[in-house]
Amino acid sequence: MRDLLKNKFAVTGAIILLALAVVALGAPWIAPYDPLAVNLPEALLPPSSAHWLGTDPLGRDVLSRLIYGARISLTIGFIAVGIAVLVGTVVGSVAGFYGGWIDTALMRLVDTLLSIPSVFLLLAVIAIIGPSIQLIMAVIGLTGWMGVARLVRAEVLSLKEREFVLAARVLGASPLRLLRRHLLPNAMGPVLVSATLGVGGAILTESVLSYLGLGVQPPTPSWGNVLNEGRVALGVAWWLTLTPGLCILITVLAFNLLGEGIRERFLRR
Amino acid sequence: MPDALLEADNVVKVFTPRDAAPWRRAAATRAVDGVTFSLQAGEAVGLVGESGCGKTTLAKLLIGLLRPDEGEVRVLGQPLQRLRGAALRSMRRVVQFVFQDPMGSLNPRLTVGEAIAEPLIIHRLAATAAERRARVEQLLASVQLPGSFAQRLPRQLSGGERQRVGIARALAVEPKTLLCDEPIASLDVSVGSQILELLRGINQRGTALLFISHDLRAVASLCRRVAVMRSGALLEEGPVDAVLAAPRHPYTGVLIRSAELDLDML
Amino acid sequence: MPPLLTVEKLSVTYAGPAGSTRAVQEVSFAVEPGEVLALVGESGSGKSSVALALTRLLASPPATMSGRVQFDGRDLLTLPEADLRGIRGGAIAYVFQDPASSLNPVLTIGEQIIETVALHTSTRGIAARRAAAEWLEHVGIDEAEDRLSAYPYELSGGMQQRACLAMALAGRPSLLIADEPTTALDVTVQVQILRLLRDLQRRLNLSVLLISHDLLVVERIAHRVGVMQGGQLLELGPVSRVLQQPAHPYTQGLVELRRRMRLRTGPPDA
Repeated sequence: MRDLLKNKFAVTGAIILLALAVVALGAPWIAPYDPLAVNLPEALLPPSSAHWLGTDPLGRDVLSRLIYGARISLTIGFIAVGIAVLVGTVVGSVAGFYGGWIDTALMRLVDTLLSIPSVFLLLAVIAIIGPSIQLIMAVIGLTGWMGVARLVRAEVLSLKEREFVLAARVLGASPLRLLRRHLLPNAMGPVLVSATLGVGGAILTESVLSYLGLGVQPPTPSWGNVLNEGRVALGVAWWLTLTPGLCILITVLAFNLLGEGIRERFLRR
Repeated sequence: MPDALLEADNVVKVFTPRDAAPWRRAAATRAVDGVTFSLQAGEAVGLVGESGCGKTTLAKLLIGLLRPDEGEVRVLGQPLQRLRGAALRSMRRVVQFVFQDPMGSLNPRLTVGEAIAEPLIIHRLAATAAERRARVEQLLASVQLPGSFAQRLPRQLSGGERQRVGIARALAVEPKTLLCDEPIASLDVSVGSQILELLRGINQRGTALLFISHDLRAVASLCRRVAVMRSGALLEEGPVDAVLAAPRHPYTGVLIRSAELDLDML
Repeated sequence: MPPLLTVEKLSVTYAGPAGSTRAVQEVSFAVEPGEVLALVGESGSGKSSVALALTRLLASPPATMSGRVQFDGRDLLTLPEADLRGIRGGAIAYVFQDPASSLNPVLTIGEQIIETVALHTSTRGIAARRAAAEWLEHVGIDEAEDRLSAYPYELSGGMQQRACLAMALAGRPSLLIADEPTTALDVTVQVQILRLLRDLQRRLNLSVLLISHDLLVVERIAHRVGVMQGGQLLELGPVSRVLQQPAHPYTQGLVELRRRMRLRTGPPDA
């Protein structure tokens, strides 16, 4: 942990994310205006001392909408990645542990799923079923578990032959115990890195979906749909596209920095 | 005649390189080539051979980490490969193993206490957590380590201390026999001799020992019987004094003179 | 004749996160021409640090060295790096414990020996190749010409160590420093390599500084032995004297251990 703190990447990333989390959690107290409050006379105002980031076509305060949007983005990011890590870890550890035809079958499944372009799958599913936050989280997660599965499988395969795992087998440990106590705790390093990067990716995907109108539906604000709503006034209201874009950029960057920092630390082990 | 504690009956293990093309019958190595061997209760037997002779493979076969391709391994008369589940688990209380690499054989994330307690948990040998803690302390004492070591992590221990922890963990189930695969190879001479002393005490208290090593000197000081292995086969076997004084096989003679670093042997 | 190497009050200290460790404490000894001097001790006694410190092979932070190492009229600890590089691998050569990590896996052993020849002698070209083959023959590798194009992974441990010896000798050293040269080898191979070392030493009148944890190895090929513990040199003297009348209790303990581990046969040629 101490050397993690010495890593400038990780620290920068962590600080940004911490700030983001504070903002997201404290939205009701931090946001200057109600993000849903329509105020047509004040529509499309550029940034000023009253509205730090200006207003959108319906007169809503952009800053407040982005602050609440942070909540949505972070939630979607974490839960989607959580689903991916859960499914991926189960599949990867079963494949790596048992080997043989189970491994072959599961890995061929992973390969097949990986060959399906996930964005199109996402769009198709959401267009058919209809957008909802839960569906978005589920689909992003279920299209992202394959990478995790491969990572976990690789780690389990190499750990399986280590002497302390053999020792546990000789002591009589059941496969579940081997996985839970010996294999997975030592395998989660790369998964952690992947998960950190994955949250950034999930937020980006959600933004893309929202931009296309298939993500979080208005009036609930998300960075993607604020961007989308700003599209109509692109020429005149630069703040409507620049500010959510910056939010997405900074957040994904922060996650990537944190992930890189963690990866460096694990490489040095 | 009572069943031998542990028996190998004409055991064969063949390794074929995995990436061999299917049409090419690649050079398969017979790592263990028809070995018959038995260990009686309370005995201390040494298995001597150089690297690559198959002794580690034989050890893994005897402990059930590998399945023989031919022949049978029997524990107290029961064929090992037929055991599953609960039966296999109870066999783990008869034969236990001490590994060569003291650092590698301990999970780096578990404390000494957790590592030693694991077999107690698996086999339900202690009813309460307090009982478990007490038993762990007893086991630490039996390998001459202070109870306070239970909180330490493997990387905070020396090689000799880690090996003692490995032995304590194996003894937790009160096995009838202990298989030791090169337990002192990576330790200093003086530390290694202390471990040998420890094993001698364990043997004197009734636990049979199978001591696998390339170091004939260590085997000679600990064991009553010795078997010599080379290229997957047992060349000869007998009481240590007899084999050392009058080896039947020339290779044994070479091993003996090498162990004494007889530089002028031909 | 003056000693080949004189070490005066050599100290090595490592700076670490938890403070500094004195790995070697004011060790003094000399190596005479044509003799085998052994340094015996357990891991952590500082013997390997001494071996590396002699030609400043220790990374200089975190290690700091003090004292004097006199070789060929010069103090190796203060010699400019360029001059020292000429001596390392040349007049003073090393053989280490693990031959596999001493050899570059992507170069043939011929290339590696020729590299030493080129760096430390004036032989070049085909003559250098011939010299390399000769050294392989010296260390007991048959079909030397063919073996020159072998890669390290194609050789057994014993052969790799022989190749390392050839590499060390190709620079025509007057002092060979061997740090646990046989510890990683099988016991039958150990005998071969030690015999080779002994024969080469006699034939070439080489001085050898042998580092070992095994008193038996020392007994077989060393003339004098120094006992190290905790960074200090406890005693130094002819092998027969130290083993029969150890002055220091630690040495007594080591000798006693060696006696107890003796095989229950008589002397080797019985």
